Amino acid sequence: MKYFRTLTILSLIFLLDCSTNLEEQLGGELSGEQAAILTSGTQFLNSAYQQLQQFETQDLVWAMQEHTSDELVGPTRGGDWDDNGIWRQLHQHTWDAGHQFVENSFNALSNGVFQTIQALSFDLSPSEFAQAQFLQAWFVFHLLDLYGQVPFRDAGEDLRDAARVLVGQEAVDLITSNLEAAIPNLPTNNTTGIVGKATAQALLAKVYLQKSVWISGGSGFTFDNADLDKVISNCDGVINSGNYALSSGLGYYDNFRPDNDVNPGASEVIFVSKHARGEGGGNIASRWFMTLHYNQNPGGWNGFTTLSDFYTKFDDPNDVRKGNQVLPGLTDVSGLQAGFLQGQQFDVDGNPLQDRLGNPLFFTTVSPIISSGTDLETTGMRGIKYIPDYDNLGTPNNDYVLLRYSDVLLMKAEAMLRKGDATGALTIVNQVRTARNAAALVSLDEAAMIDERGRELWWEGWRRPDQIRFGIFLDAGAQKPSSSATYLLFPIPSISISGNPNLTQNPGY
Amino acid sequence: MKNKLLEKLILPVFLLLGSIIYAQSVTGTVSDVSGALPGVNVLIKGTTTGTQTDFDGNYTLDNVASDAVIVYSFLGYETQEITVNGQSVINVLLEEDASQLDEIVLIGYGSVRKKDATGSVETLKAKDFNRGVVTSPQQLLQGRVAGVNIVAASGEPGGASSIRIRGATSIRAGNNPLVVVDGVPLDSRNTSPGGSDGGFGSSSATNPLEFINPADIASIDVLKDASATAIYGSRGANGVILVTTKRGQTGKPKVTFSSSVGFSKIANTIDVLSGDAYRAALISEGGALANDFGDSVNAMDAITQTGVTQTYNVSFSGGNDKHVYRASFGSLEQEGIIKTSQLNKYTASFNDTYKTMDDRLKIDTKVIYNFNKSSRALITDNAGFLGSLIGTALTWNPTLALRNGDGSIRQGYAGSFDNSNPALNLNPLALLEYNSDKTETSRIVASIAASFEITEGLTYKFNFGIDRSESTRRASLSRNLDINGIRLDEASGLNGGRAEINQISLFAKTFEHTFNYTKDINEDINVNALVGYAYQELTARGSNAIGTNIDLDPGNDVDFLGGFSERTINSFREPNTELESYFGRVNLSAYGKYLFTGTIRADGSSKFGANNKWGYFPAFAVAWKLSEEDFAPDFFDQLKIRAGWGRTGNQEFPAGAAQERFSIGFDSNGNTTSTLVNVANPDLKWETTTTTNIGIDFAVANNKISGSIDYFYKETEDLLFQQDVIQPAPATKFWVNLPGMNVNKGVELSLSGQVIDKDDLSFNLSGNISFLDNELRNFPFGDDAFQTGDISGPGLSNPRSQRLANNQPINVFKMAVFEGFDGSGNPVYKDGSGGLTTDANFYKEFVGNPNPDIIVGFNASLSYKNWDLNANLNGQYGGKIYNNTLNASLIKSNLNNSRNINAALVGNTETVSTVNAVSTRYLESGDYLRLSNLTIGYNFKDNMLPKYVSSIRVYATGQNLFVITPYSGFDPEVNTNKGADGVPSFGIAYQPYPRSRTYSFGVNVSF
Repeated sequence: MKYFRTLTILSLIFLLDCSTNLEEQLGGELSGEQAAILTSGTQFLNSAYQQLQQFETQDLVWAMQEHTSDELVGPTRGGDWDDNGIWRQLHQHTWDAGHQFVENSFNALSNGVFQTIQALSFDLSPSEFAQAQFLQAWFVFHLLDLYGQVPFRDAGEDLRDAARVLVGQEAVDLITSNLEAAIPNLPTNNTTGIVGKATAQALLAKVYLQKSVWISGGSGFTFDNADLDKVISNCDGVINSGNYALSSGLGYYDNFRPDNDVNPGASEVIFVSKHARGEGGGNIASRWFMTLHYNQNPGGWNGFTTLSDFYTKFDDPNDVRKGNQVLPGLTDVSGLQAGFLQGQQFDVDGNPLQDRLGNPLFFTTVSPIISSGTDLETTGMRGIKYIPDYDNLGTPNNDYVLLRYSDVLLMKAEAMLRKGDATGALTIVNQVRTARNAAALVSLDEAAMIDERGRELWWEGWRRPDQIRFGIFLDAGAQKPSSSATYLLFPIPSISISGNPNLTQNPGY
Repeated sequence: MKNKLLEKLILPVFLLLGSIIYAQSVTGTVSDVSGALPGVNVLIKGTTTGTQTDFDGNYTLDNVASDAVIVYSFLGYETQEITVNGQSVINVLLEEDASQLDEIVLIGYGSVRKKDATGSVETLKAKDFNRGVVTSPQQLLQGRVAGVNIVAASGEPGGASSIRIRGATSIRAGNNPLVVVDGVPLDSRNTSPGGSDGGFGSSSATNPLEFINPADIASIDVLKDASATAIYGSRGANGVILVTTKRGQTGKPKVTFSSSVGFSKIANTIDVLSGDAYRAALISEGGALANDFGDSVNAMDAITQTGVTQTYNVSFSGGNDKHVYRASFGSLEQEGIIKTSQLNKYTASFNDTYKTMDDRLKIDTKVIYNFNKSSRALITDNAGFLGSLIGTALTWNPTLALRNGDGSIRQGYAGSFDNSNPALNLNPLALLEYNSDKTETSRIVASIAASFEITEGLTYKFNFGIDRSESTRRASLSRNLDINGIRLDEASGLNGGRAEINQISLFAKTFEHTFNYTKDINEDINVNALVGYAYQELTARGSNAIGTNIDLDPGNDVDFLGGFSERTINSFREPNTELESYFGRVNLSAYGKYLFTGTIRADGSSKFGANNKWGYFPAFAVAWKLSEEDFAPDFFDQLKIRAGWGRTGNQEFPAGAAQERFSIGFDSNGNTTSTLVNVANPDLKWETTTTTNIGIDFAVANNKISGSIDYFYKETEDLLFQQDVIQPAPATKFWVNLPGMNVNKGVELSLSGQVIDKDDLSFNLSGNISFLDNELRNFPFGDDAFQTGDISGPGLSNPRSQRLANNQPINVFKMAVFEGFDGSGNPVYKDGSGGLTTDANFYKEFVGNPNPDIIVGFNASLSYKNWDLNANLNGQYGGKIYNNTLNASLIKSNLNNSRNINAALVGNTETVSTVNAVSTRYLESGDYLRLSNLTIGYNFKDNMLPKYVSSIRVYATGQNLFVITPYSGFDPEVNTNKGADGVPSFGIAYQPYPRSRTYSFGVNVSF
């Protein structure tokens, strides 16, 4: 029995060693308790700001707002860019509730909403609190615009419970009350990447302009003069802040250059998703990669193009926004031109480029949605609005522009036009056109108004709501048949409905 | 009555007389093929007179009648009876018992004789293993055990493989069984780090079981049903594999040496066009004639080689009745069939058993150390438009020389960079030359176990084990590689190049206390009881450093991270995982024919949510040895019916899944961010599998034919899954237990027979066949709610080909149904209402699944005098494979893109501008039957052996000599990881590392 005693003692030692309460200790992340001690609200606000990056990639909100419109198409090129029809479905209005971008954007935008709920539950300065309120309004704006339904919850809710869903007026109220409450506490000066008073006013103008569209579901809406007055007063708030001015001539592109955070020419930038060269995150580099041919500099993915019907809307060949612009700091560096690229492309020494098969790299005006034959790689005009940052093409310094001054001017003009003041509106529109070296228009109607918005704001992520507001979103185009009113809203992703019974599928899906 | 009494009185008298008259002594040595056997029972038949052999296998029996019969018996060997017939020296060679039913099988924390087992358990001994160049233990098992499906992801040396015992119980990753090596449960996590890749996609994990030298394994036991695996509780649902390494033996020290050399070549290529055929196709199919560059090259040949594999194994073992030991060293250096791929594996192991305190205390110590050094070619699971090495070689334009006139590698595209000899596509030689990806992994698994016999029948055992691995991956892409983001690009000021170092270290610590009690309650009732406590802790941490843009080209970029202008570093540590368990088991045997087993395990885990900290896993099984009954027909030597029921768990979800977690990072302006990254689920728990198993074991014809039949039915509930969050919420997925039920059922049959059993000729045949069926039931989600099976390639960024859907097998394929071509040569598909459409997205239907319905394995072994021949075949039927390679890489429109095409496309009516949609066009049958290995060996007999040498064997093995299959890819045994959103895929092939055919020659010597 003497062995037994020894072994008992030994085993007791081991037993003591292994006593455990099975409490999980985190490693490279913080638990709720640790986070409460170590982190501050500012860091959560930074996280919410970071969510703005979802607007700059070629495959989320931007794709849903642009590919569905008349100014952009993603042609299938043989085996390239077929992607099981994911791009064609957008342009031809045949998407369904399983479409990947529909699901991913719903998640990304809702995640943005969550980050703001989280930030607002921490201690923030009044200015930070107001910035978080703005950001919440920004994400809710896009959910409402794309899906017509906004899942929302209060801080501290069990995240496994179904969130309540805001629709129509309720959702509009959330956006406007957030923005109205934020404005008094937001900074009046213009700091790149920080929400200011004018930023909130610009968004508020957009809300009041689009409000009746949302509440009606996208068709049969009328504009309420009270709303239009608010559009005008908020635009005036931005205009009178003195922080912004129209760029002049080719300075249009300064707003999209790598140095658009400091360049004095970039005077139209109201709100951006900010980037520092070499810092990863976001996908602003998609601005050039998504459109340029492999053999251009930078070599791109040979993707998206505009359509000839849209290109012909540029009525004045001197309009700097039209394209084939020889731009200092771009064409002399790489041979690349700015705006829409049409015809033969050249390298920096002026030699004509070829495609990968040795054909001339000549971008055609027409852009069939399924490209084939010898111009497989060369159909369609490409668009260079953002000037590539040749110091770091992958993680460039360009800030992604979310709100721009000329948009505010055109919103004001549109509100005036809708209120019957076509003359006043025309003055503002011509102010913009003059800055772009385009001849003044002699008259202004709705068709001219939406065309001007298209010329000014091409590929900036506003075309779908603009076209819906002007009632031309469902019209047939060169590469799409006319579509049914179902497609005025995107479907709620099937997976989201199965998780949250408060969401209901939009009609027609 | 009187007669009987007379007999009883008289017979002993005669016997006594006889013994007086003929009494003699008999001496001799008992041995087996590997040497002297100590402890063999030597008994005069019909008496209780007997002895045991000593350490040298010697015995002496006195007073043996000259006509007596001596019985030699030893566990695990065939009993021999020899009539004395006046001999005074009788040397006996015992043969290992061919009848499986007398085998000892391990059942976790103990063992039983196979004939007393109540659960579904199979043992595979070293002699039954697959042969040839074997780098990893699971290859030893493939096709040998019914119900066990082993699928190597590709032909890569040391590549990953999936082991599924009785189907996939889980709908997400984590279907591999628990592996226990000499009592230490292994850390199932991947030991080597993955990494980012610079645009080529990610490569699949290598094999975590690789650290064991197959030559060190004595046996592998597979526990299949819940009554057997419930002792492992929350880790038992996928079955359990128990690996037992070789031990020392008493007797004189024994040295063995073995060496082999193997030559591997690519077994099967995908049929693409030759230079001339391509030229012809450009004309006949209407491709761009400019794509004929006049040459004739075979790019696949340019990247493949004959891989040479050399192995050396040395072991040294010996001991006495108090102390046995074994030490071994193994070296395997394997060149892959793809150039630059290589696996070097070095293993050292030592084990020692020491008995003291009157043999009541036994101490077992074991150490396995492994160092692996691997070099991988750039072959990834999800390459996009660039393709990876295999893809670029398959698609290389066969009319275009791979090198320029000056010998440099042809790279780049036309029209830019003043390149007069553009490659137009990525050159596979450039990927070989300018990519480097090397991983070094060290792993040590060590344990000490002490068992003490407290009183007769009661034993306490303490087991302590550690499992530590450290792995570093060094990968780089040279700036000479002409692709965006990597190339030196003077125009844009980019210096190019990319290097990274990833490091990961894992540690697991296990200890267990068990009490085992065996008691014969009376002569008819025998009880064996086990109670135990176990604790396991797992930790993991790692770091990585990435450099981009270097101003010069040192060649070995990873050693010059400081020279890169942009560097990022990162680190991580996983939450610690603790698992604490209490378990018990009772085995009851009554009247030698009624057997009962009851098991329970309680597992508490730090991973489980706060509301479900402990799980309980019971199991029961009964068996009835019918052959012991009087009414049983004599026809059966063994006949046993088994029935079992049990509940087991699976807890393969990441640590930290149940609780709130906040992550600290930087935004793109260098500001610190804090973000909630997980949705807490305090209810999160294990997945529960309930298994019912009914089986019959039998042996007939003097145990010459034996076999088993098992029927099983498994229901898995509380399905672990990463579900979409309910927005607004952080992250996009969180771990839940989904409603629904994953049902696996099936029948397994195994049969083995001694066809011929003569002194110098024996012929054995064995085989197993499993019928498996899987279905997801009561799954309350839409058919398209859970999608996986990403199809990759140019123009195929996102489509998903597989679903988890109610009343369908898991990973069921859903896609457009291909119906040929329309008048203009465009592919057409069913439109769901009887017509056809050219839109592959218009209508999709369920079109089969990748899970095989039938798995088979056959073995034939023949020995004649000194020669032996062994063949293993394995195969499977009923599963489908999606050929992503053909879908993405070898399409007809490649004729316009200066890429090669699938040779079968020439002459079809398809246009050259077709769109490569996902459809049944690329869904193929995965049926196959493979001669996985064939070995012929020659054993030198005693009189042919030099002094000191006790045996020499030379052999030649051919592996993968043929595979019969309708599949058009490299090989039907393939499983590229195409999982999405945490749902694993199965049965998709995308530009995989091709499989090899290997011929190897070896010699085994023992001293």
